[in-house]
Amino acid sequence: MEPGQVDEIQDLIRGEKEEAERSFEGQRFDTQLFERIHKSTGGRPATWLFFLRTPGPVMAFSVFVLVLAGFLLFRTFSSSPFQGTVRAMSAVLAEAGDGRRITEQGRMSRRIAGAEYTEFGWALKGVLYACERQSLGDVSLADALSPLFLEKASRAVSNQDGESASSPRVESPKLRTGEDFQMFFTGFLRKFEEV
Amino acid sequence: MISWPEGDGAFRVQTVPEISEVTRAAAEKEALFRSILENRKTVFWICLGYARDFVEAEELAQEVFFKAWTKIDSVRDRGRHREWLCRVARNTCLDYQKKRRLRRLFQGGFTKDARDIRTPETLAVYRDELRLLKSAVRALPRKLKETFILRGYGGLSYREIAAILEIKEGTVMSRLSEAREKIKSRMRGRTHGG
Repeated sequence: MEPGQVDEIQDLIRGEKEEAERSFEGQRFDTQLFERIHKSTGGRPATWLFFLRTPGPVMAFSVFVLVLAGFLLFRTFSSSPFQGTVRAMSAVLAEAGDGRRITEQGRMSRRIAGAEYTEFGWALKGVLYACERQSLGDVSLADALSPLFLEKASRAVSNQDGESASSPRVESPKLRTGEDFQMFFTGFLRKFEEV
Repeated sequence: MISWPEGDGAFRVQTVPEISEVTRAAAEKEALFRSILENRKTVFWICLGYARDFVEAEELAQEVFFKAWTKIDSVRDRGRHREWLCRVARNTCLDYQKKRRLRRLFQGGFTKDARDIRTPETLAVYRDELRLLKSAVRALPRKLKETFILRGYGGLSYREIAAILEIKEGTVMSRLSEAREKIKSRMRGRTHGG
C-alpha cells in the first residue's frame, strides 16, 4: 500500500471529525441523553437521584423525618392520665393471665383483619373476656359493653351502698376471681366516666 | 434546564448514608455511567464511521448511551467499561445499518440521500473525496468495516479492538491492512471512473 494513500484516508477522516466536532456540544448531548433516560424511567430513579443531589430538598426531607420521628416518639412515650389508666389495667390483666392471651389474639386479629382497635378497646375487651369467659373478637365493643354496663354497673352501685366508696380491691393487682374482675371493671368504668 | 451535574454526584449522595442500600446502588450505577459518559467522543467518532453524517452520528451516539444506561448492570469488569461501551456502540451501529437497509428495501431504494436536500453550507462540508471515502467504507465487508472504523474513527488501540471483536491483535492488523487496500482501490476506481 502506498503510504500517501493511507495518509490521505487519515486526513479525510481527521477532516470529517473536525467538522463533526464543531457541531458536537457535550452539554447539549448530555442534556438530551438525560431527558431521554428520565422519560424512559418515568422520572422515578432520576428524580430520586436529583432530589438527593440538591441540598435544599435534602435538608427539608431530613427535617421532616426528624419531626415525624419526634412526633411518633412523643406519642408513644408520653402518657395522659387516661392512657395511664389503660396501661395499668392492661398490665394487671396480663399479670392475671387472661389478659395476655386476649391481647395477643387481639394484635393478631388486628393484623389479619386490619381492624382498627385501639389499645383502650382491646384492654376493655380483655376485661370483658375476663368477666364473661367468652371470646369477643368479632363482637363490636359497643354491643359487648352496653349490657354489661347496665347490669354490672347497677350491681356495683348497689354493692357500693353497703361498702365504702373506694374499694381497696380495685387497686389490688391480684385479681384472681370473677368477683375481683367485676369489681375492677366497675371501678374502671367509673374512672372512665370521670375522664 | 435539566443537565448532568458537575463534579462527583455519588460522593454527595453518600453523605446521606442512612438512606438505603438501594440508593447506594443507584449512586454506584450513576458513578459508573458517569465514567462511561466520559467516552462520549470516542463513541461519537465510531458512530460517525458508520453514519452518513454527524447529525446521524449524534443520534446514534445517543442511542448507544441510552442502551448503555439500560444495560449497565451487565458490566462485569468495571475497569474495562470502555471496551464494553465500544461493543455496545458497534452492535448499535450494526443494528442501525440493518434497519437502514431494510428501510431502503421497503421504500424501493429511490429515497433521496439526506445530503441531497441539505443547505450549500452543509454540502460544502462533505467534499467529494470524503463522500468517496464514506462510500468505500460502507462498501467494506462487515468484519473489515468494523475493524477499520474502530481504528480509523474511534482511535482505539489494536489491543482494545482485539478485545472488543474478540480476535487476535494480528488479525486486527491484517484486517486493517485489507480494509485500507479495499478503500484505496475503490476510491481510485471511482475517481478514475468519474
